[in-house]
Amino acid sequence: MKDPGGEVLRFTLNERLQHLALMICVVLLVITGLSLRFADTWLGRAIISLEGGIEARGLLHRLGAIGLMLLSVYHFLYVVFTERGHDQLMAIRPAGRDFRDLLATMKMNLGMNSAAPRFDRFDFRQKFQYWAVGLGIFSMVLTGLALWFESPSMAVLPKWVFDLTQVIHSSEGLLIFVVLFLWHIYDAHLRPGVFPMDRTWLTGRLTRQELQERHPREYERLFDAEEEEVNK
Amino acid sequence: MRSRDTLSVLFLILAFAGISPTWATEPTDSDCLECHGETARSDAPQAPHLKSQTLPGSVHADLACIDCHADITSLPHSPPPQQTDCNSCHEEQADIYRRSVHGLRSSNEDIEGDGHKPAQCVDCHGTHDIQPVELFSNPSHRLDIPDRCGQCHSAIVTTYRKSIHGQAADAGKVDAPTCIDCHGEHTIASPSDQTSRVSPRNIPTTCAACHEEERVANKYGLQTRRFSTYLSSYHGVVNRYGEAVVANCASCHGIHDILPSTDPQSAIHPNNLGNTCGACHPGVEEGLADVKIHVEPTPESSRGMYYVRTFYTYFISALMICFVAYITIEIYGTLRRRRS
Repeated sequence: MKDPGGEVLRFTLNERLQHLALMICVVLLVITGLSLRFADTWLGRAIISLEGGIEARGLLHRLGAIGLMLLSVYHFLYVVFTERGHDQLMAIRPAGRDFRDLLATMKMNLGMNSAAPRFDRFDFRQKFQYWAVGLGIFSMVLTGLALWFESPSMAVLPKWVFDLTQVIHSSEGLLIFVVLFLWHIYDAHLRPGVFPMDRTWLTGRLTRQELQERHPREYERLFDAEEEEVNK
Repeated sequence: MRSRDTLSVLFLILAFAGISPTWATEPTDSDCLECHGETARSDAPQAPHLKSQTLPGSVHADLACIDCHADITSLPHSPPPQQTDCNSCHEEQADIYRRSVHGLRSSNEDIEGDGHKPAQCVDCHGTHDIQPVELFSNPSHRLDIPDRCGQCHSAIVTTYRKSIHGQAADAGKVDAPTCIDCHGEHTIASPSDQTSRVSPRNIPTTCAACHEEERVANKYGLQTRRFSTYLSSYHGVVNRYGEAVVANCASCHGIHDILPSTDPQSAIHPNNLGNTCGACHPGVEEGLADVKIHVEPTPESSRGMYYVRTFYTYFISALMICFVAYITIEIYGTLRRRRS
């Protein structure tokens, strides 16, 4: 999607709102969830008291879960049934190329190879974050629902599966926290070139120059065709 | 001078009056025993007989009768003596007692409707044979405690005697808990009282005093880490915050009827577990036989849980190392490119 002002629209308003909703739900879920995991530490206790006690904590956590589940259903319908969404899904699907890009990036940074990998619409870092969080949410929703409705799920599942559900929900939550708050914050805020913040999540736009630097293959697809048209 | 002489005379008269053997002065122990001793005077047929040896053997051997029976100031006394007031010496204990479930009741209230009044000092400690409190840690006397409480709480004591705690106490095991080990003594309070040792909030720490204690656990081959594994469970976490209704030790294991899981009568026997858990979690009755509950996950006890937990620990650690390595390499590359 090209913009006459020399900027390219990377994310539509719909997609930016999906990201915002995801951010709100996940931050709420991580705070209310990890404070339970670490309820026996001073920090856990402090956060639980800020949340209004152990019962209010659970209520907030389930509220966040409802939001996240609604968003997940919407997102699923979006990437499956809208043309724009489907194109995005196709662009973010993992490929062998991503692994080669990772190796090329490492080699370049270590000075073993001067050629920078040429990314398409989504680079391997973005794809990794999308699928890590996507799969994480899938497993969190599944295990979370089992824990929310504990009596029916204990009636159906053997006790050891129920025990594992608790371990997985708690550990997976920590995993998502690490991916988002260590990796995603670095990638979107601290990385050389984007500090203090990559503003694309708010504006949805990249300048043509930024697009050419960060996603050269997509740039070529968009603008070479245009140049050809101009040259005709 | 004159007034001084008058004073001296007056003093001497009073001094002689003071030592003269009349009933107008404070009665001594031998005065009391004239009627209440083993060989009582024939003109005091109704006086209850005190076996003279009991008081000397008790912890109060040094006290005189009137130290406790302070309302007897002259003899003969016609109304029977009032309730003794231990408060005059044991102020601290009396103060604690007054806030206990026994002390909060009016002393004449007939709670159960069977004529029993709320326990007062003498109901537990005895009267003239009152023993030093250290004796209660002695095995033979520890067993007296359920008997004392059973004077009023007989049904509960009968249940207790059948429990594993009661069986152990009867077998003379010194560490076996009697009533006071869980309920406290002077502090004894209703389970609905937040400060009670047997309130839902405090039960876990009360049980942990023995079950998390290595010495006791090793001595009797008890399963260890019952408390810490409970605390890390959802039940335990919520219980610590004391807000919501959540299972504590007694909810599953029972109260006075606690039995080991191997006993078919036990609430946590595999056959009964479904019903026990089902009390709060309707529908789970099926499939809850022979399951592990608050067991520390070791490779032997809970393989699945142990390996999944270990996997996540290593996976998250490895991921963090990868992230940090990637970030370091990227910053290194950026700096290198800037320099060149």
